[in-house]
Amino acid sequence: MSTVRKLDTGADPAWQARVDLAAALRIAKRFGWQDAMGNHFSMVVPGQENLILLNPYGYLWQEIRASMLTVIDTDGNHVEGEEVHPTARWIHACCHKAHSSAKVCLHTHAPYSTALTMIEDAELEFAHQGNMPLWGKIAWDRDYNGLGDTKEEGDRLARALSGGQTVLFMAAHGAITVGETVAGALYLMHKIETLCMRQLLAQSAGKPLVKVREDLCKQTADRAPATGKGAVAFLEAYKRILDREEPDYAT
Amino acid sequence: MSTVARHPGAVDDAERQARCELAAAFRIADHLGWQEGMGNHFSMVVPGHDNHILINPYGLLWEEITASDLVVIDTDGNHVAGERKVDSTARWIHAMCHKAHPEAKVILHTHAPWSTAFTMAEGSVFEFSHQTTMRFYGKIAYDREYHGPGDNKDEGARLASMLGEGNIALFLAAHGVITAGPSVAAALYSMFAIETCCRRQALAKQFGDKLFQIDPEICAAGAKRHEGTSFNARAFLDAHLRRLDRTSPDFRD
Repeated sequence: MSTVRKLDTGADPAWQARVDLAAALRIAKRFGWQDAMGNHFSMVVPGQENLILLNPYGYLWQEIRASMLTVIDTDGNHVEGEEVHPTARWIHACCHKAHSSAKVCLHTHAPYSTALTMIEDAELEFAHQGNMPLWGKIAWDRDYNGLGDTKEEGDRLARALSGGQTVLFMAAHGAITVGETVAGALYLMHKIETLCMRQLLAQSAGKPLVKVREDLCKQTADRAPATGKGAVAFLEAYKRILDREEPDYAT
Repeated sequence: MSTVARHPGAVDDAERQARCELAAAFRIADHLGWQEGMGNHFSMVVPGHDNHILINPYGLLWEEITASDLVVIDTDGNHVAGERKVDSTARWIHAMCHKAHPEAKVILHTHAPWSTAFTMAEGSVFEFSHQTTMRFYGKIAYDREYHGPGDNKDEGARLASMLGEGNIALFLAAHGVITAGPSVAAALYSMFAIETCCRRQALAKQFGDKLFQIDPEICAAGAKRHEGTSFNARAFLDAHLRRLDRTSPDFRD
């Protein structure tokens, strides 16, 4: 490694969005977050707020290329590309429609964050410094209401994020992260997965957990948003690896 | 001691060897699943230059790091050589630890899963319940107070003082773990052994609350046998170096 990757500011933003979203799916696969054919990542098409990119149904994340992403609108209508799953359609269309600041919305059943949603009345505990930037950013949907494959259920899940939160844990289901960029939402998913893993490991000792002081949590949440320079560096670093080992993601 | 600014031409054989071993430590730590996002850092005193330390720059994954990517800072936290910047947490934890503990040529800091989870359990104590734990007998320190990230000189100095004299591992509550040693081999093996022992301890507690206690005299003898850079530690690093030379030899670049 000797060259610093520069952002290609000359590239078409709509194409750049596709490349980043395809990269996110490839990276998520590397982390072991894929659950068979399920789960979906979306992004608002830059400059076209009512259109969103989504991964088409029937492909493994490691197969997805930038040009394969489907376009739907925020009312759930198909616009271009192969079919998406109804769950993908309604969770993502409703989420983007309700929250204009959420340009990117990721949904996974990653192992540890999903395991946390299976524990009754679970909370993400603030027992490690990595939790601190998430102070006030976590929402819970405690009412499992079946698959998110209808507009009503999509709207209901979207409402759970109406307090400005960026993470939604859905009981008996999985997690959603939202962000202004692919880098931000992806980093957030990585953060919560790591923190859930750590929490479940710590709880296996059967003892009470440490509680990080609330004032430190608040200060850090204000000072170091979970989607700062770390997020950009994280996505750029993994894109370097993809460029070397599976460059077709960007085609 | 030297304060001469470094440039690639100034890297002697001893420093080149140090850079290769430290770069290898990152690759091995990544292989073992200890990396968290863009965080955490390993450092090593430049051989023959006690006030200069090699450390990883911010923004590179551990699997990308090569010998020439490592940055040099001094033990007062000043940048000395290298194109990239060092994270402020990396700067202050490592500069202050090396300054306070000149015998610790290598300092590793990770949020490895099991040892970090250990720091999240209130009042947790490292139990001497398995033979691998004995090497740490009398050499473990705990920081029970969490004061925020170690991104300033004062917090770096506080953590360095918590490491204390002669200890090879420091558990940081709600944070992670630091290991210190006279060589990359020793500090890396300590990190490996700490992570393995924390995992085993958590697993053992699922069978029952009361753990086996190894006789303190046997523990003390075990710790003495593993002082410095043990045969095990050297063999562990050499074995992984062979693997890296086969699978990703660019770590030496």
